[in-house]
Amino acid sequence: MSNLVFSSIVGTYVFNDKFKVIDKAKSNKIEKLIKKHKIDQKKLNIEEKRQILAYLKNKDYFKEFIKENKQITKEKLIKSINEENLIIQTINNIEEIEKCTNMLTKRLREWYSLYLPELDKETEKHENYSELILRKNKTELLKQLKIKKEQCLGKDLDKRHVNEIKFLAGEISNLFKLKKKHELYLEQLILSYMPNTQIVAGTMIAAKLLSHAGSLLRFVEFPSSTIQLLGAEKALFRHLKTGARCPKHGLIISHELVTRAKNKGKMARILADKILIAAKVDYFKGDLIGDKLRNKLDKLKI
Amino acid sequence: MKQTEHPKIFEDRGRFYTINLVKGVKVYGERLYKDRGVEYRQWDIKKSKLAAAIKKGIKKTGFKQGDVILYLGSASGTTTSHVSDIVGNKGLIFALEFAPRVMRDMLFMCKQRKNIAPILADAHQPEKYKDKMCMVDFIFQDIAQKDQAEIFIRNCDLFLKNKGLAMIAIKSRSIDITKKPRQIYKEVENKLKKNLEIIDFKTLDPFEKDHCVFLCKKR
Repeated sequence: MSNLVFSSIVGTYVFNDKFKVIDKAKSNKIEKLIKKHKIDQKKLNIEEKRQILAYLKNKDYFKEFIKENKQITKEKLIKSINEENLIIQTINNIEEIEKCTNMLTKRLREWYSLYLPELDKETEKHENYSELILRKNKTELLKQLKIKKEQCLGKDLDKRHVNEIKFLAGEISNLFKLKKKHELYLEQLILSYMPNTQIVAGTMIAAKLLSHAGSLLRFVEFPSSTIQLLGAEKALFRHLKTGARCPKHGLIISHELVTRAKNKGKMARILADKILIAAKVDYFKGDLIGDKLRNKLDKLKI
Repeated sequence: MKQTEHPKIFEDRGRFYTINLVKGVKVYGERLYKDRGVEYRQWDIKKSKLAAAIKKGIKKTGFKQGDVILYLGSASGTTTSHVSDIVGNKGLIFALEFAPRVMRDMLFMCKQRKNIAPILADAHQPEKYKDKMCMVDFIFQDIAQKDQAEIFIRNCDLFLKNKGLAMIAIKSRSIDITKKPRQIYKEVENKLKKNLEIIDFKTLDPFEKDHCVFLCKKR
């Protein structure tokens, strides 16, 4: 048996056939040792590896192991942060802002309805509601709604009470502005990071799928049936566990092609397939083929 | 405060404690407790599968002060911190984790505890991190993966010393959700039997649903 060489983060070691160390150097000097001892670099078998690892289990090396591993992990950690993480944070934040505005606007509607209940039914969109409260006072709003002041069911509140409600409306409309800003930023990120997927799936769905998958690598490793059902995990596991009906679409239900289609399950299946093709091209930084895929989808009559 | 049959683990009114290695510092918001000048940290049974296994009466924990341990799937370091308390400053823990996000919390903990070596790697491929490690006395695995039994065997083959003990926590739901947990435990047991000797088996109900632990010994 000839000599063996093993490179660890604490150093490179040359062992003889009885697993005694005959030479050692720093961990990046492996080439030098191979030349010096004329070692033919064969693959170590598991017994040899175990013998060497047992040698390294020595209290003298513990501090070095901790120090080196900390350094390597730190570098890897910083390296692991990329555009993906930014996209995922942005889309999650957009979804959370949506939740917040819904909740706050509900309260705002209840609150303001003490003062002017007629506005609640008239403006369905949350965004317009807070904007209207901010911009106009009661008399203007009544005029707009064509209601006489005597018919109004709200109580005439003092100015200091109304102002408090207006502060809330101001904050809500700021949140809506922030959301719009984020959406623009997200679109730029997605367009540069996964342009093909953006064309096929749209910005929001592409980002949501990426956030669900965790990373683009995991995303492209999925089969397309998984992508079809991303976001419908609860229904899927219910189906697997109890034999209930199988879900046909997850997140991609909100895609315009799926909503428009008569046979939604079929469309979802085809769309998921094309999204995956686009994502794979994006992962390998290929050409722009999104338009072609999208055209094919648009022509389908399902 | 009473010493249990396991080294360096203490019990008081049904709760487990370990001696705090870094005085006055909490890791995950647990309760600190002082008794006769020694500071103890409460070990939450509901947050740690190892503690739950001890509560359920597992024969051995398998490690003691000064041991070298490989912890697969350390996450943000809840259980790892207690293991670090037990092995003390003379011991060493290789804490392996794949997800960068939780590794960040782990690194903050490593700043205070000087006996943890964090490794950011995939437990599927022991070959890729063998240069960052040495032989270990004990392996604990807590990763919810479909092929977690195979991962465990592979790591035991390479890193566990002869006659060394190892513990694996199985989450039956992530192996196959359609099968009954007991059936999965049986399948895993058969897989482990081929390579290792099984010493003890405990289910973790009611602390963790559909979980169990195996304590194994290398031949």
